[in-house]
Amino acid sequence: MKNPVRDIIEGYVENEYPADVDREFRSWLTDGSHDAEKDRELSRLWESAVSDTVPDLEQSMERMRRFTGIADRRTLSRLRLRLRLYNSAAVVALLVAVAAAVLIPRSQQPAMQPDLLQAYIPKAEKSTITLPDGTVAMLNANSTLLYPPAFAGAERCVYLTGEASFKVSRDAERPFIVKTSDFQVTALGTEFNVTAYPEEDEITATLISGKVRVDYDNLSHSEILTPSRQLVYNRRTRSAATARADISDVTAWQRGETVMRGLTPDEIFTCLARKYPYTFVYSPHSLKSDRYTLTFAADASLPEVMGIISKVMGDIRFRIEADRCYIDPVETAARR
Amino acid sequence: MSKTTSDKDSLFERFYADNFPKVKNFALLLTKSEADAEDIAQSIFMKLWIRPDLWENAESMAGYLYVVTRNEIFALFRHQKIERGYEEKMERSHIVDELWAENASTPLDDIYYKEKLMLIEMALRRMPASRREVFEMSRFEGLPNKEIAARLDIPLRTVEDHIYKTLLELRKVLMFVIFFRLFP
Repeated sequence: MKNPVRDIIEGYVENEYPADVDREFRSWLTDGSHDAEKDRELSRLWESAVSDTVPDLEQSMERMRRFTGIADRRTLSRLRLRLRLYNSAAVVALLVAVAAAVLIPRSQQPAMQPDLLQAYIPKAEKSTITLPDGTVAMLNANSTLLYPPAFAGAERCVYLTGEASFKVSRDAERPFIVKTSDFQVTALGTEFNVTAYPEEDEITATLISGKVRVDYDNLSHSEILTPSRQLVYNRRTRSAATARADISDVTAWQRGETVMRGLTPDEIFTCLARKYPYTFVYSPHSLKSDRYTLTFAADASLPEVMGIISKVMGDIRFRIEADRCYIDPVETAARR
Repeated sequence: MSKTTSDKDSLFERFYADNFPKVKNFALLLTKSEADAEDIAQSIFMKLWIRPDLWENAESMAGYLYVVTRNEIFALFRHQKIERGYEEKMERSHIVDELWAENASTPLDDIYYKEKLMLIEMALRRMPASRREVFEMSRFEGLPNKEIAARLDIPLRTVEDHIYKTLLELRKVLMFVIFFRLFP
């Protein structure tokens, strides 16, 4: 025997009806009768509803960011940091363009200032570009570098979000400056690596050879780095520390290797999400905050990497479906 | 370790991206309105935004999301509070009688009586307009077939054919419960 409640719900969602039938359906659905049956059929409908995509999701997300204030906080924190950092009005105009490059999805970007070129490296890729002065910049995944078609004036300035290494061509007259949201690195004929991903609290400058000066905390502090020294600036605590860096770790990404030292599971998956073309789906709160050090070869596939990580951590399990990697905690017998 | 505001922002964005499509698609199925579905889904996530304790636990979330989405949709439907005149529905009630089996209980006692009226209405609305018009004149307005033919300027055979096919189709729709005499 068929079920009339199911027939109505299925018949209704599968066909178009005039407005009076819509009204009738709405009052029937909420009239309080056969509630258990209606609920059972609605649950079935819920299970069958498409869950991975919806038209105009990006617009809905923008609306949500406005409602929750996420959009304002992002714009403000980025603009404020930058505006505090650079006082010259001429530079401010450029910086607004930089902020736009970061905030607006690539497809919707208005024409950039004509005198600034943009190199954008998407997730899971890296690329080498040669700047007008012969400086070679190698960009890691999810990174944007803005630079002029020709360097004019007393300085060579580029703007970076993400991570890049620079082999700066020597020009004693004009210092080469990499500006990020929270610090800037000034160099003369030198090789160095800058990590400034917006989603990470710590941003890092590492000197490979030569000599650089790092200005940070609204340019009120500066530190001269000698080779193999690394400056880590925490934008949350606004504190900086220098330490000796393992250059092969710092430049591992250039060779395609993955080196993660003392990272929490959350940080590890954030890092892998940049390197591999997968979306990682997990609840950060289900993960412990133990720290791990892991190194993977350049040709390691994500299933291999995740297989090792899940063995090492022991309390997670993963599965890969299409371009998603789902990570779930495993209830161990001891915890039950 | 304390969570910063931007951590919370990012976590919520991920939760939203993972769950918003299902909520809105489900609401779209029932409301058939892009604007209503968007409003319902956004208002659910705005309520969740201020209650991080609810969405931070992903495991229990799936069942919970269904319940809050259903409730939000029901609230909208109830708010619209369109009570149709019952007379019009009563008009349709004798169709149920007509399609009724001799051995069934009386229509008004039937627990699915309202559902049958709904199914008849929905089935009629899916039919070609000309056939529905003929059937409604016959059964709701009680006009004789001859008069319908004259009013619509169509052959009597066509009128009879429309009514016959409509009854056949309604029988199929109500198959779940009744076996009826096709014609009085």
